Amino acid sequence: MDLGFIVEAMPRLWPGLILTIKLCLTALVIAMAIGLPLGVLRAELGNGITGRALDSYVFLVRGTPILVQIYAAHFLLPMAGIKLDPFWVGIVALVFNSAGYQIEIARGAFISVDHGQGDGAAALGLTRWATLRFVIFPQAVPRMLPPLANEASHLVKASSVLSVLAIFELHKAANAIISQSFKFLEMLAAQAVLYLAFVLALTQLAGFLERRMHRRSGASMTADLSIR
Amino acid sequence: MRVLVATLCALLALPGVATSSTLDHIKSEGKMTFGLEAQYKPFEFRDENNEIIGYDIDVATEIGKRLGDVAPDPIDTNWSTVIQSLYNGDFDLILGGMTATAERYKRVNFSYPYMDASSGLLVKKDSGITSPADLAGKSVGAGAGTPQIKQLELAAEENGISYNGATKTYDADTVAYAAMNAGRIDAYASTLVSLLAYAQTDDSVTVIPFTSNKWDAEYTAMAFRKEDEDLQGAINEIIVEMKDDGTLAALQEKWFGQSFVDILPNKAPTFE
Repeated sequence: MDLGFIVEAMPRLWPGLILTIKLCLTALVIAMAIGLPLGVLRAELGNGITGRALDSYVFLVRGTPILVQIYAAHFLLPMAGIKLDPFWVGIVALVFNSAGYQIEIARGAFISVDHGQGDGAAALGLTRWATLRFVIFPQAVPRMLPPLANEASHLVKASSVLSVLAIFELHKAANAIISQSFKFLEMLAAQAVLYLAFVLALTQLAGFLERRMHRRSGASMTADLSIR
Repeated sequence: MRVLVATLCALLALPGVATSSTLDHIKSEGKMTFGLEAQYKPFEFRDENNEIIGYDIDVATEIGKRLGDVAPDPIDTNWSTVIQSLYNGDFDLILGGMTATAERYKRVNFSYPYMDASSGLLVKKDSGITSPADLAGKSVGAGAGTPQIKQLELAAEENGISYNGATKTYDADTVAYAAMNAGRIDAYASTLVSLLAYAQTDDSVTVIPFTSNKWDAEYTAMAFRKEDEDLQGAINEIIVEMKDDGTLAALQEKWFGQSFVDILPNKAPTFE
């Protein structure tokens, strides 16, 4: 292993890392905006048409490999008359994938809040929206954070598969250096280090948010107790 | 579910969107896009600034000049789906070190050959392998979707030998080189020139010829959509010009260290 070469090659991986970060953060934000509300909706809905449609979507996302989903986005969208540049094809594929998992994350956190709390709020005359807003969400949202951090780190690594669309993200950038220098192991190590660093940053952020939410919910609970 | 299947079938059966000729499009845009995978030194690879360079880029630049002020625009793509991407409209033609084969000819038309694509075998210097006959009981590999897979099969037949298990296929030559250094394969079949480029950087390997009467001479050619006959014709004319005035020979000297122009026929491979 030629450590000197790794150091030398790092600047050439920089554009790839930047693109990976852009892809992942964009996809993550859009997927959260779509997946989490749909997950809550799924928990609220019974087994009607919409509920079943959401179930089918989750089934499709979980049951097919990300590689197949990426190729589908690349080759099926143009047949439907939708031509996007590779970056947005990548975003579509990542969002399609991640939103499916996030539906389950939100649904899981939501139904983990004891049923009696919703019933109690209803008995006190709170509207359903007020119940969600003031009773269910404050407990469910902190519970979403650990699995969301999990999903974010999964998304980062899934983004490496976008290299098959010749999107010049981190994995592709490393491959480009391999094909010129034939330093295979060195570039495996280099990209592993950069992926680790990115995932570490994301999990640190999630940990920070988690601690903050717990402090806040802890504080409000004491306040409630002092009133009583 | 039935509706979904029907819709998908209808989408897949849709003919390509009718457009004006690709040649006219290239000339009016002043830009020629071509598909390749920039992991195939010295045909196409990336330099220190991540720019795509190589023999194919120089050939495309020259063709662009002769078409009249057309800028070459290489599109880095995934090689195993390159023909699908061509019909997807991702680029105007494939100019990426493609070996003309009968299988591929079912889906694309080829230009006149612009490079030799003879096969070679990469082996470890200390392996004692000097010809395909020495491969009995050895592990062999080839690139996914390349003609070398079939050639390994034919070579085994011809020499009355069998390999150690099935031929291992790799998405990129670079991965196969790492596999060889890890002891996973004893021989790797690819085009001679790309193997020679790697052998220059690794003292432990050598390249031996891989030829047989069981397969025809092989050439590198550009590939076009079946309907783009005007583009094919225009580029064939330019290839002949470049062969005649020495431009192509000079580019081959630059990237491969020698010229192959004399053995390239002025006839598009059609496998009849």
